[in-house]
Amino acid sequence: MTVLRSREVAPPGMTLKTPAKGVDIGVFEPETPAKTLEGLNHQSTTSPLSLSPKAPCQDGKEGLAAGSVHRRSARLASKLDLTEGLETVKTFSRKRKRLDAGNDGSLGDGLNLATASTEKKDDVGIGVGDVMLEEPNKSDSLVDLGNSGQSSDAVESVKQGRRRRKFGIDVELSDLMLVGQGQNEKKVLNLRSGRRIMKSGGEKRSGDSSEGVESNDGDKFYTGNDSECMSSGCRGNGGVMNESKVIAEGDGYHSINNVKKVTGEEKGKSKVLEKASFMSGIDLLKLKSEVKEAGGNMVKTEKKVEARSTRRKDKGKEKLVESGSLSKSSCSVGRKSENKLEKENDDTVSSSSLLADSMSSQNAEQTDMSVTADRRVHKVRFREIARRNASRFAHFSSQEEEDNAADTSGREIPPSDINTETEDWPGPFSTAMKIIRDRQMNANVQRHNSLSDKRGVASVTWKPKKDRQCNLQKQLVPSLQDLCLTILVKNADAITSLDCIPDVLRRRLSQLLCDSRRMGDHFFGLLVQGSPTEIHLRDCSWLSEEIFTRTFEACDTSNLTVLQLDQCGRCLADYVLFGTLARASNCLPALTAASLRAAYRLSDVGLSALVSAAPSLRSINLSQCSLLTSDGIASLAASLGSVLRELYLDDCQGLEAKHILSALLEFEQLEVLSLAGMETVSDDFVSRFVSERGHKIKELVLADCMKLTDSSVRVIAEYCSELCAIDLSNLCNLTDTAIGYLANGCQAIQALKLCRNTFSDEAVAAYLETCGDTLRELSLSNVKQVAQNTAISLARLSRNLQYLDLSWCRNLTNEALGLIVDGCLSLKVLKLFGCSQVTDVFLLGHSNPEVRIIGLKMKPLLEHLEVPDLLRGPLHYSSVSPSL
Amino acid sequence: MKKEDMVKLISADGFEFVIDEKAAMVSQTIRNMLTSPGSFTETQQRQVTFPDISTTILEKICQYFYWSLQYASGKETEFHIEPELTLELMMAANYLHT
Repeated sequence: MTVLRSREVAPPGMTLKTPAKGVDIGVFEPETPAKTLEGLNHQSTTSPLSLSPKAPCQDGKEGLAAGSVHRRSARLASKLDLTEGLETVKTFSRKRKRLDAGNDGSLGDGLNLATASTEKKDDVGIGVGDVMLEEPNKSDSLVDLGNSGQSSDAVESVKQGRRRRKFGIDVELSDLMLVGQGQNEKKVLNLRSGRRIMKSGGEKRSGDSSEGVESNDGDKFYTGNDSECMSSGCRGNGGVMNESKVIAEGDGYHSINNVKKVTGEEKGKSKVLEKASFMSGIDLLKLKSEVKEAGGNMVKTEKKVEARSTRRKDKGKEKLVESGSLSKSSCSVGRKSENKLEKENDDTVSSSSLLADSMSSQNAEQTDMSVTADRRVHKVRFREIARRNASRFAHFSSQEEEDNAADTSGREIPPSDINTETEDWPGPFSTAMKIIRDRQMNANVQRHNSLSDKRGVASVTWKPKKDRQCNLQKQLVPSLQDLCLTILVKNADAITSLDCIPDVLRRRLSQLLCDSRRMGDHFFGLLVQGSPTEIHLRDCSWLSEEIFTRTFEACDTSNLTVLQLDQCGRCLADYVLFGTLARASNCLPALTAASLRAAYRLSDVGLSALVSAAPSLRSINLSQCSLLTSDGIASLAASLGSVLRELYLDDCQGLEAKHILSALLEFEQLEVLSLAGMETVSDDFVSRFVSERGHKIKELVLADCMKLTDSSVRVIAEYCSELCAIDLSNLCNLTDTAIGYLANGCQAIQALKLCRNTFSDEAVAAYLETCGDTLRELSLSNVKQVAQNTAISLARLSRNLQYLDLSWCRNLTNEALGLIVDGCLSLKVLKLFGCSQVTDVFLLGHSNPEVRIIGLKMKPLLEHLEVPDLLRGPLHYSSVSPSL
Repeated sequence: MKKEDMVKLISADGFEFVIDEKAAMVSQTIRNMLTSPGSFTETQQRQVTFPDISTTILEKICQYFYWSLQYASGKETEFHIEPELTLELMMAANYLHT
């Protein structure tokens, strides 16, 4: 078995190498690369094999486990050197060469070192290649990479290593602080680049087998699902972390090939890596896992049917090696490895050229690749990176934006697109930001001498007015209407008829009854009696099928304009619908707006029956209808595509964004689209929908669509010029740039709902400065950073603001709130849940008579529930056209 | 209690209720009627006719006006409404925006 052979070969080679290198680490290092190579070469049953070559290394690694980066790097370096040396491991050289050649091509300009290393690897691989010819598959994959049919394990590894060297220097080493490495020190760990690299790697994996860039492929393999950036080396930016990530992912990928072993070497590496003090915790972890993965990959590659995986492993190994070499502790080591590589190059001119080609090609590929990395990896990586770069977010880093856009869009964003974002920056929003920042700075400067700094950055001066009492009395008197309603609610069963009562009052009465759980059959019958124009039932959970059927059978629905049967799951099944509301094909001729929230027994069939019964339907709310599928939406689009104005599909668990996209695009007049809670909504979905239908959209609800990033908001701002209301709650990936886009792009926003977003105080304030005038409803609940700047902007510019939610904004002081309330003259409702910092200084000191403050001091629970605007028509943004 | 301070509200049956201007202003609708610019009969003669509000309801409404002033000045009592009047009273109150 090759395994055996490699085993035999490797150790001596390794030991030999050690002294030659003169690396501090010594014995272990050389072994590592050999192991890697061997592991690569031996597929499938490699586990033993992988173990074997790695055994020596492992020991070394474990020995190194003391956690010194130095050691690790030394080990890696030795690995690198080993590969470079190749003399002893010549068995792999052939393979390596091929791989390297490919890698070289892709890498292109890569580091000389990398090239050299790859070349070396080739040498090593080739020797083994002969032996390794067991795996025709691998060789095939190699062919893909542009190599000959030899098993490409070695080649891959070599290539990868090479690539790593070239790029890895940047990528991994940056983390490890490769000191003194000429090439190595290219860059500090750049998360962004790392990401990119990852991406390209992933892309490769998914896509281009044909490329000559084996390294890319290999990278891809490593990353497994999200391994895009395996080619981190190529990028030279990512740093160790990227590689580790890739490797880790490669592991996942490798599982396909049954080989899940993480070679000891790999593990050891990871351990060492982790301990590297240079790496941030996250990076380290990632690197560690990745290393492990890589190790596993390496082992697996042998077993893998696809050569690609092997390549990945190899690459991972190579990367590790490279990173190791580059790691700070061993500048010299790195140098040496470089030197060695170069030596190797001399030895293998042809191979090196091949490798160079592959490397360059790889590089090229990687750079060109847009993100198509595995979502998973991307997400994870992105989050890590985002977490790390959180502090940068406030600075409108266009690069971040690019990264975000590139990462999460799931499709190619050519660099040019990304760059154009920066052009948009000098807009009103950024101006406002600048002003606020300057103001802040001035305030800071001024206050530098003053001792009191309680108020925060921008000073808010506000004092409660004295003559507050008289103003407030007015609002305390209960209105006659409310008094009557209270009595009616208590005695609902005594009501005999609702004949002359206008719809507004019926609706209010029904709402109060439902809220206090006093709604019953009797009142329901009264509501449905005669020929009603509107039926509003906020809560039908008490309603049974029998009563529903009986009542509606007797109902004359010819004038029914609005039907609201929320929470009707219990009573509204398909067959019930057929007997009542959909009993004839046109039995709801005037129905304009229908709300069937939580009709969890309503299926696609029932929906189409309802739609055929209501030809003039313009607004439909199907939130939480779990049985609906994309077929239902498609039939909805087929029948109402040209007329439907409002569509609410919150929390419909049977729907997936990409499947309903084509149906949604058919709605030509859509003004309101609500997709809250639909987690499958991605940036791609949003941009595709909005670019086609965005010009008419007036309200967009994208709460809880966690995948969305700034790029979605950018597209929305670009296309939805008439946007009146937008809900971006819980979108934690959004940064200040998103607010900037909104401010610059959507000038007509009247209702903005933000919740648990991570916007900074300055960004929100700048938004208000730019668009605060038109705002009527603003929710900043749990936008924790909101503070003085926002308060000042609100007070100054939000003249039309009626509903303001500042719950959980603990940075707002009494003074800030007082300023807001006294400044927002139209303010009717102010929600302050969770604002424990508010005291009576504000509550009793503000002088706005109209405002209701909800959320403090044990108010009745129902008071803060959103009361529907009773005076609103059935359609929120258009008038109802006369019935047909 | 000068004449200028009083306002006359006329019900559907023709009954006239003369009340304080301040009390009448509790109703936003009446306030707008009496203070709107332009030469409306209401403004000039200081009387408003309600053809769809019955006498009993209008009487109750006037009682509410005074109760409201009392409430605002600090004396918080309960305003009792006969149940049979409630529905109509609610509609009238809705109309009068009170």
